Amino acid sequence: MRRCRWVPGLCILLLVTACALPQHKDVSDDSKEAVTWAEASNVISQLNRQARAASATYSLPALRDVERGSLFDIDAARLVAARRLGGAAGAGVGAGKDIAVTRLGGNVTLLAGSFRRYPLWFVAVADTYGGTGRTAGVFVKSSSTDVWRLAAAPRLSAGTRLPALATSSDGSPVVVPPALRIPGLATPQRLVDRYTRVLAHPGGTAAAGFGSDPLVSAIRESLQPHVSGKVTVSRTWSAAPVRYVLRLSDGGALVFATVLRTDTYRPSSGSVLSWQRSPAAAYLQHPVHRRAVLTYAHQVLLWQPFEGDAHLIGDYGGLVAAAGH
Amino acid sequence: MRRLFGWLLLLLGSVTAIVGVAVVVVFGPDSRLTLGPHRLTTTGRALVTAPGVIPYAGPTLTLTGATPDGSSPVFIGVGNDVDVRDYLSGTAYTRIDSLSLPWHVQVTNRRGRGGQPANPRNLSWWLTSSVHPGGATVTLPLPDAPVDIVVMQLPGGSHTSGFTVDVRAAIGIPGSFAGGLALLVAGGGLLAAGWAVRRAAGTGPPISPRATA
Repeated sequence: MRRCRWVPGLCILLLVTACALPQHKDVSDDSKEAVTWAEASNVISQLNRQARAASATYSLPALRDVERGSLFDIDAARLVAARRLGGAAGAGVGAGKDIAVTRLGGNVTLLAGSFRRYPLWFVAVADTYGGTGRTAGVFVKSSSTDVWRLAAAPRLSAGTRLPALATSSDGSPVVVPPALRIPGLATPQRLVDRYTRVLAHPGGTAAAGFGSDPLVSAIRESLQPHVSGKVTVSRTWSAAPVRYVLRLSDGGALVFATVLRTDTYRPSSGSVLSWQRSPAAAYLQHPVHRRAVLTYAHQVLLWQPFEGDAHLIGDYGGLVAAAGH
Repeated sequence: MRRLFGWLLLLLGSVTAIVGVAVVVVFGPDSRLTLGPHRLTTTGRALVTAPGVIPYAGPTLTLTGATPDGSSPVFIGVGNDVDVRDYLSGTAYTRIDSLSLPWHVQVTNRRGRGGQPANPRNLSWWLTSSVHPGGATVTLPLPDAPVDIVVMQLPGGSHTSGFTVDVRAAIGIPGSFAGGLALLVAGGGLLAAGWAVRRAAGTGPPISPRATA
């Protein structure tokens, strides 16, 4: 039996070689992480390059390559205003020659969930370029043949931090279909619909359940047209379909949404409206005698904790269209 | 009891040696299991494997595809199932649902809306891809994520729809040849040990006449 002592050695050798055997994988998990860190870095670099080029040349096609949806509408309107009014400073939309088209700064935190089908999206939270605070950029890829584009970029004020997110077993954030009712809460879409009612009637019953809101205050102080004579102003709010929602660790939700505001001005007979040193002046270059409609898009980031009031923790918006005669 | 143990060693050694020989013969000195060439035909624009066709991670897969005439360009790409499904949505293609060795495939023909897919060379999400007039070849270690293999002719060419391709696959498992040899040696060792135990049990110690008296 002494001659058999080498048999255990062979068994060990076999165990070592067995380490190279194929591992059975779970093919039922047919999801994919939206983006890798390397790919996200490239996407952000591309955004910043294109946005710089768009600002320098007032180029909407260059901007369209990296932005989409209401964010493109907002930034495109800023470019148009800057071009027509002779530069960013003249349009009141930026500082110096660097028009404030959305770019992301450094110190990036990546929040990339897993998806079973397109569209894919991820959030990159970065320092606000040329400003204070942070920007939560939502990048979207609508199909496998499309490129990543920035769809939303609400700015968080300095000192505002994102709440703790829920994570799946692989550590990625949990994305929530907007139509899905979060247990104990309304659907994200209903939350945003209710928020538009708060914006329309800040002191109304819908305001219950929402915390203090800097957007409401800012809109109240928004630039009013120079009016000679009497004018009737009406304002309506509506919510665009909600598409980007992250689950919070406490069971709540972080909701990226766009709300649209339409201001309609009707001067009385003999009165004249004009906008000065405002982006609206780029669209309404002649005095308005009868009616002017200005449409604004506001990208908002709503924090709905599982218990307690919802809060606005980020926003970005501006004029997207204006017409008058 | 020792005789039974000897038989058990002989049996175990035989099985181990046979498995070792099989592994050595199948994988060969390059530790690769080679399949094909096998001819596959589709009436659509692509041949695609379902995720369940590749249920393993770790081995290195080398796949070669060529048209029978050897001149038309063939594209082979390996991509995540989420990307491939979206890419081919609306396109007619043939899906390989299952593959059993030595070679039996079950396929499903998917109808499309008649559109051409985008040029696959312009997409960045392929884990690996290749296109070549004579025949394309891709090699990659199979990942943990579900992946699909896509074989297609490039859109925009002279063909309209449908093509035939000869496919050759090689599955490399590092160390499989050495492992097979190790099994063979271990089997031989067990056989020798079993033989020795049986012999020792068969001869046994001599019986003293005085003790039996």
